[in-house]
Amino acid sequence: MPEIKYKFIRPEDIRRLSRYEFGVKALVEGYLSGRHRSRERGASIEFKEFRQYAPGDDLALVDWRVFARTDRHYLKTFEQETNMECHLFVDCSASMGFQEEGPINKLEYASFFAACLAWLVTSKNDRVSLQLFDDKIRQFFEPGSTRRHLHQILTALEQQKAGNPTSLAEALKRAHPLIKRKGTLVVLSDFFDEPEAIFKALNPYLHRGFRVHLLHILDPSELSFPERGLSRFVDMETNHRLVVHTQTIREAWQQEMRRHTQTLRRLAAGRQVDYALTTTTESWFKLFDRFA
Amino acid sequence: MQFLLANPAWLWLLALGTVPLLVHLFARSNPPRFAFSSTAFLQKIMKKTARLRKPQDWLLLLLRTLAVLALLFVFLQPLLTGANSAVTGKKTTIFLVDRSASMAAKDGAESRFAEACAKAGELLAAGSADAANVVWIDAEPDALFPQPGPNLDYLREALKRTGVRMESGAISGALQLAISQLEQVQGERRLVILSDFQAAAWRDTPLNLPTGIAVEKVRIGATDLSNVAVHELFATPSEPVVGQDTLMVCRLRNYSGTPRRTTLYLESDGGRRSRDVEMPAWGEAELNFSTRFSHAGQVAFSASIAEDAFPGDDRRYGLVRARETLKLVSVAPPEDSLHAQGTQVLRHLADSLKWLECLDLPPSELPAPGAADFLFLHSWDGTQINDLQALSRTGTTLIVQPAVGCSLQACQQLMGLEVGEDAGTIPVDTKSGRGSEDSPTTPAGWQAGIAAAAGEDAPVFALFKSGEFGNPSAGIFLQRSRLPREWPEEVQRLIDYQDGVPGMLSIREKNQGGSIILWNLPVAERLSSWSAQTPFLPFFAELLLHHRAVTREESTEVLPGNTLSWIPGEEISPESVILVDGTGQPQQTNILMTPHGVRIDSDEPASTGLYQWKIGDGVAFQQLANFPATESDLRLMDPLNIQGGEVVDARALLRRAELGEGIPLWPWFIAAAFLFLLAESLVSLWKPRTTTTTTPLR
Repeated sequence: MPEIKYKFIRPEDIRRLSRYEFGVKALVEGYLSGRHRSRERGASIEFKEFRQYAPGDDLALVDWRVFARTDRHYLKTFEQETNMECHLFVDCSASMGFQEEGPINKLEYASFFAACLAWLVTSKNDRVSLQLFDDKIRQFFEPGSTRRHLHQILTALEQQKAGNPTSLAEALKRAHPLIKRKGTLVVLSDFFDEPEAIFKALNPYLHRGFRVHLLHILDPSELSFPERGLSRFVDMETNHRLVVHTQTIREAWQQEMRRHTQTLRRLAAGRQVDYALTTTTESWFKLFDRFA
Repeated sequence: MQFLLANPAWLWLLALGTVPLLVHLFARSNPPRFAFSSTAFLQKIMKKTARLRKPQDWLLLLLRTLAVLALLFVFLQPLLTGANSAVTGKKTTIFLVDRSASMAAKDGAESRFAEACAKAGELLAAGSADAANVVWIDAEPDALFPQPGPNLDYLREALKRTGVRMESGAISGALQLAISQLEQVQGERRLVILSDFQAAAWRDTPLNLPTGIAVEKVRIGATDLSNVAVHELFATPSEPVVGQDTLMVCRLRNYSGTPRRTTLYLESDGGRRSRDVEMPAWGEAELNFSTRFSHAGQVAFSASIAEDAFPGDDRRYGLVRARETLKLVSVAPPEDSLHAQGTQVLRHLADSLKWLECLDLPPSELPAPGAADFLFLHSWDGTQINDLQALSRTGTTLIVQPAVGCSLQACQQLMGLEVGEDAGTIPVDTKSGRGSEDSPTTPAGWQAGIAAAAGEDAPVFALFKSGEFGNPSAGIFLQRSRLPREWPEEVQRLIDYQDGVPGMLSIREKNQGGSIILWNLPVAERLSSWSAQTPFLPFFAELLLHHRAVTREESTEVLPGNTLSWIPGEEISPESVILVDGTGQPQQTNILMTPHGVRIDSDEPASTGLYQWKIGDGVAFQQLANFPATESDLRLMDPLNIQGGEVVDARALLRRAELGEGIPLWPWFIAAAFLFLLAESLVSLWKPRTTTTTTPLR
């Protein structure tokens, strides 16, 4: 297979990723034996517990030595080791194309991170899926761990252009039937949506036991709202126009952004969802610490 | 007040006042585009802040617009002017300035008149009028211009030069003069009265002005000033005979609410006498100085007190003319009259009195007016009543002895009494003079004495009060007119016959002319023995001295402000006459030809003091002008109590004058523009208080 150069994953990134692990401490629910612990009892060598026999249990699992000593039927269970699935949700809406102070736009930043994470997951023989969405699902790549699968993902990321309005909640709602197995859900977005609606859409995933990581990507200027005088702001998603003097609302904008991120952080903490805010000027590698 | 623009041609500049609004509208309509990730938050923020932001925006817009407008108004040179400035036509102001004597009073360092002139000058300088004039309130009101003129500088200079006059003010005359001048002009007409509004002068002076003339009263002087004045000075008699006791009467008046004590100095005939005097509050004191004059002629004298805050009335002058003789003219009766001897009696009497000169005139002939001090008509037939009354008015005392056939009506008419019914001629009673059979040595006749109504206290009988000189009408009278016993009260009964028939009646001429004595006591030796009696001479002398006219027609005193004049007589060349004032300074005179001869008038009106008409080094005639007594009372009245016009404070009037000129407002508009810009900065910097926490984003 000839050497292909991908835009969002570079050789130096691969070298750096070799030092990272993905989900080694996480309990996963795979159907292949693998390097991740599973909630299911299985045939691994890791003893889990003794459990009293119940009708229907496999008699092969009865520990006869215990029966000999206690005259009772106990089953000796072992932990099952399996592979893991990582589901990437990348926001490709028009707002993700915004770039002012950062070296790249938010979609590129998200694509860099998604590409690296996909490589990291597949390199450990875990499966990764990718959903590119705006107000609907643009593209869906089912979980896979092959190089071909990775190639498809990386190619898809390179071909994406920011556009259309965003609706993360709708995308999550529509993607739910497509994901068969629970795993790790990583959402890369600028989250210009109502936090309550986002978490309402996340609830089905959380009920199924998904590990959810919300990675909030913003351009630094979206936080600082720099001074640019009287300007006509054109919404990149809706083309809505609004004339605003930045001096007059700068402080209010910062307060509103502070309130918005605090709401996301509070709701995430209440549901044991991981939430991280990053800007496009920061390195995305620091986010991998959150997946150890 | 009105708001005017000195540069109305630049009014179009005000259209630039819409610039902030246009900037507000168009700058917002086309600002630089900026693609932003999401305006939803912006919308939310705008919705939250709109409640505060919109009023703030509008306030900013308003302040910016006002600042621009204020700056634009600077170029238009706005003026604040008086309310009547819009009246078309020229503005004419006449300043009625009081320069009567009371205006010499000083409230502070300067006199009220100086203050009035200064205020009038300020008002003129303020340029509130296109044409103006100054009318003086003095004894002879006059104006600086024959009609209001535009040369305001001349008026201001004249106001600086002019001084107060020790005259009373003819307010009505001055008002009439001002009104007559204002009535001849068109446009806005204004009369500004600057006066102390002395109560004594203004109390009964309403300002009845024609419509269309605005009157403004400016009161000069704040408070009533206390004053002590030499109120009156005269000699009695006014024309004494040489050697006659003369009383110089001086009256002082205290015009203050507290008793005052002062010293009066009387200077007369080279001598000086003084006397302390105390006066009650608002009271008067009279001091009498007795003297005699040793030679005939005019003698000047003066009374003065220590100088006070109002020195104009601290000195007063008097003139007395001492005479060598008094002239008695005796009009002889008809030759066949029983009274014919009377003229001889009077001649003998005049020979006995050095101060009396007797002149006989034929029957029915009368002296010229003023030629006689006394006129004795021995046998008056009731004719020439008008001529006799004219003589009386000119100061000749008439002694009238009714003749047989004279009517009572004529007597009443001559004496100025109410004429009764025609009772015919006055009956005449006659007695033989021989004694009765019972007492043949006692002559038969009537006897007379001092009338009970007169009493011995009457001045004419003062000499006889002691009884040393006996009965002034001693003797037997053989003929008399049977005059009625009852006479009106104004008739003084001097001597009555024992049976009550009047022997001598006297009445004073109403205009202080000579007295009229109805003489019913025959002096001819054939008709009475009175003239041979010892008391006859002193009584007749006393009678003459006490019935002289109080004043003569020829007055030596003129009112301040009037011209001095003298008729020197044909024997004097008018060119040789000079007029000097009290300090010896010669005065300008004018020689006029009049029906009475050459008259010399002073060129300038008289001020207070003594004036001498001189021929060479000799004093031919003296005149004096005294301070007008009415001006001494320095109590002021509220101008509000004077009907008509508006009372205006001088400062307010000046303000109005400035308004008439227009107060430039451009500095205020510049200040306003800066204030608006400052307020705009403050409003734009102001932010509503928020309660958000400062939690970091990450």
